[in-house]
Amino acid sequence: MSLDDRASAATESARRSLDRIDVPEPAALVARDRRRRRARALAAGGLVVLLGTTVGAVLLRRSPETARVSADAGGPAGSVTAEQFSLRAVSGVIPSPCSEVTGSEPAGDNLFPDRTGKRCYMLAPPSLTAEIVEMAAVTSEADPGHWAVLLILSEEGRRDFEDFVRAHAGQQAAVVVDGRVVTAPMIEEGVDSRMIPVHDDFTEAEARDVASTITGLPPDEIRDAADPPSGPTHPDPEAARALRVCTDHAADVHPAAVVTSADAFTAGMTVALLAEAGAPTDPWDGLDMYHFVAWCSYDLPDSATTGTTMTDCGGGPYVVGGSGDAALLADEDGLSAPLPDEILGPTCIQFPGP
Amino acid sequence: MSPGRALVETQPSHTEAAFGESFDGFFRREYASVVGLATVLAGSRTLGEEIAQEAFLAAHRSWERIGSYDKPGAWVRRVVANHAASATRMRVREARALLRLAARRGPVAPLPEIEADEFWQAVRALPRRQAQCVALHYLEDRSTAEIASLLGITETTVRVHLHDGRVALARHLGESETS
Repeated sequence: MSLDDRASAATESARRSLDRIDVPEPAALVARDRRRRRARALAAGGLVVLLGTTVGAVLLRRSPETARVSADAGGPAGSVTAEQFSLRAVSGVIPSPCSEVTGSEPAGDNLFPDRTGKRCYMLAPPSLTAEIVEMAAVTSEADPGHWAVLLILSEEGRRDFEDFVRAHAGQQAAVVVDGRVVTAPMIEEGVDSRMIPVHDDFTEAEARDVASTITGLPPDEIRDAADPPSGPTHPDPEAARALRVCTDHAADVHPAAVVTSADAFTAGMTVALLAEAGAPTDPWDGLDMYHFVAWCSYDLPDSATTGTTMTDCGGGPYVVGGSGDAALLADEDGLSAPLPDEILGPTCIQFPGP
Repeated sequence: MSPGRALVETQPSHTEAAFGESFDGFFRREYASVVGLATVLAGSRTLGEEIAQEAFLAAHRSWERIGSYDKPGAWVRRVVANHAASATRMRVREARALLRLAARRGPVAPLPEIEADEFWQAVRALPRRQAQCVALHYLEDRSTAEIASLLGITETTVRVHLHDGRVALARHLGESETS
């Protein structure tokens, strides 16, 4: 058989096999792409916040007079009601139980007990609801032993929140969770709205319950921002070290994101980390081409370091944040794929060597 | 040797989009064929579909320009050919595929006619440009001029790559280079 006959047979067979390919709905593909790009941009935003400041750069500052907790969390809810989570302007605070005001509890449309039930807040109608929240995580990094809930806002949520902050700067706001005021901070203007820590001296369980109510996820599926990803191993000591370095720093990239490590493939090859913002119930669900909001490379071969983006990162282990795809689009010679403006460029973070 | 020789009767759709064609129509018409090219070069349908979808989405984001002024079919194939034949990108995609497997989500059904076929495996073992030229030449039945324009290289270079690629393939497969 000649090469051309061989090629002809292979081509025929290959083309026939393509009949088995289902063509996805373009509209669905585009919509999914938009969601992913938004999540990725958001995650990259989180990166900037964390590098620039500490997690404790508090937007909603703990109000001194808010009190202890009654930690009954609502069950997972498909859609979170305004009763379960809302941000409202505070019109007044009555230093006695709401039941004394109305004769019954729950108190009604605009009266909400605090977590002890000893104080009663008069609140404006909900300004913001759980719709603004893309995901939630818990953390005690800023103040060990004291837990906060980190709310990662969606893009639209961020705009809504900024509007709320502008409209109510200097006033007191109440965070209502499950019909109770969990914290009533003063609203400060000029704060970053990408990641909102809600502090109120929570225990871990309380923080998880609050995050659970807001997101509708079970409390044990709420991610701890400081959790190191589960320990990856590799028989090759160099690869194992690369994995450790990468995973140790994964939380720095996006603490609230689901971060997990792939197994190393072979020594010296790319170690990929997945940091997906959103869908924390199943980090794998829908995992596809645009889910690498962060990836960690170690010991890239020369061919990979000659590209524009990679060179800037220098040698050694580093994390490319923002967008693996942006890095990919930029790293190869001769590729004319446009790098869309709205894709955030990769950010290189140099880690110290061993 | 005649690199431009057409080998098969059934032709894939090479018609370029009409001016201002909708992305949907373009996508539906070209998808399977582009996945085929990506799979031939990348070696797995999972990766092939991923690379193809990524290229289509990139085209969609700039559709106003690509759909009107460029040849979108050629544009998408160039992106696919470059992505699918890039070792660096492939590693990242391997990572993604691996993560998908870890999720125990059923991988898409393989295309053994491409993934396990000795001929296409030999094509993938060729240097990047040779593999691209050979895949476009055989699978897509493209002329050297088309391949040159699609990959942004000269026609002479395409001829050299095709020649070298065919010599290497013949040696690898133990076939005579000419019929």
